[in-house]
Amino acid sequence: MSFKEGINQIKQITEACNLNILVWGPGEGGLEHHEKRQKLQRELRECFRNADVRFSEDLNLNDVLTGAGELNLPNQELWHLAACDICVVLDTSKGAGEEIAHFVGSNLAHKLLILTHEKYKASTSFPAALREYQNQMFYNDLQYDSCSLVEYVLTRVRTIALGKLFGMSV
Amino acid sequence: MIQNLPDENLIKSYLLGDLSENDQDQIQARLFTDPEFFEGLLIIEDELTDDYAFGLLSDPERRKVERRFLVTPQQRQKLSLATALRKYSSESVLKNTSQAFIDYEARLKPFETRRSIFPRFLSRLFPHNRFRKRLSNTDVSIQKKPGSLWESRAAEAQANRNLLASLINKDWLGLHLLAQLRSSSPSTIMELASNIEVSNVDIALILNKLVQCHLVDKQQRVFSCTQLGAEILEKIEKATGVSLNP
Repeated sequence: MSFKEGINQIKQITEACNLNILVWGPGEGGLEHHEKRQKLQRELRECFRNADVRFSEDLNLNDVLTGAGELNLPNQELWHLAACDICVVLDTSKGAGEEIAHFVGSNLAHKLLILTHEKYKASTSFPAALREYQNQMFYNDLQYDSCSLVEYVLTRVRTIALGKLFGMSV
Repeated sequence: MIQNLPDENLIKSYLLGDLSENDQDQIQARLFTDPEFFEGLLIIEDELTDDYAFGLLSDPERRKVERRFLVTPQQRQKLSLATALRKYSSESVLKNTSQAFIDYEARLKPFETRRSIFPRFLSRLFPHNRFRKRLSNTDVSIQKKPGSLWESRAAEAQANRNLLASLINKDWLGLHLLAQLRSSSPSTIMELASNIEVSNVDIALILNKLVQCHLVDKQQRVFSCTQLGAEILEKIEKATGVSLNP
């Protein structure tokens, strides 16, 4: 087998990895941003065909966790975060940070990929360490409208998948 | 587009992480193809290490230095040397030899004018064996450690992601190069390019990332797979059941 053939096989195995992917962001009231979240979900499902790609509002813990109904929303989402391999957060409004601040200082923070519009760069309230360790990235309008933001997320998920294949913390 | 800065400022900006990703990539490619530029980087690196040891950097610059390039054993050793000089040299000694420094620097070539002369100064001031003994007792821990558990995990995850990304980027070119280097004797960029049929620039960019992640070793212009690189390849082969041996 040539190198190229071998690498193609590895690429396919990576993209066939069983992943649990969360996509957080604006709900239906968020209009175009909600559409972007849906597009991201579609692209992820298309690229990683064995991945379970969900919005948190689609998940019901009651079936798997006794007493889940008594948990408040942030704590339910903490369970989702614990169960996922990566959580992509579309941080499209100034106030979005308050919703995910609950998770930022937790030992699950490394699973977050927060995508924030660059106009909020100066006012972002997330710890600098998130940016330092590439758990928060800034995008501009061009990247948002084109495929490059989605491509960035797909590349990140590939590294997560490869790391998961041989047990690396990613 | 690369900022139109003199080389020295450009290299310093690169080392401190002040350039855009595109500019960084162009710098990295130039490092492989321009020996004088590469030499300049080594000199500026030494200067930054010395400035760090002597407390001459601003707070933001110091943090950038700690985070970006005082992370390899070789760089830490350089810092140990510079810090030992600061600790053991006295003001009177420096004052008395200041004229000697001025004369010495005047004889250096322009690009070397600001080259760190302190290691050479040190070797003239202290007996070799006494200095070495003191150095061996000097332990300067300069790598910034994450302050909390979540930061530690985030840092570890990022380091691992960077390593994996070096293999995946440019359509898995890194993995191809690593496998190629493992199976062959140390190779130059030209030799790799002829085997893989990819541009020299792309190969240079990816090789640089592999070197940064310690998967590949670079000796002058020749590259080889490190033990870590071989271990990572074995892990991938074991996890996927795919052999990357030709």
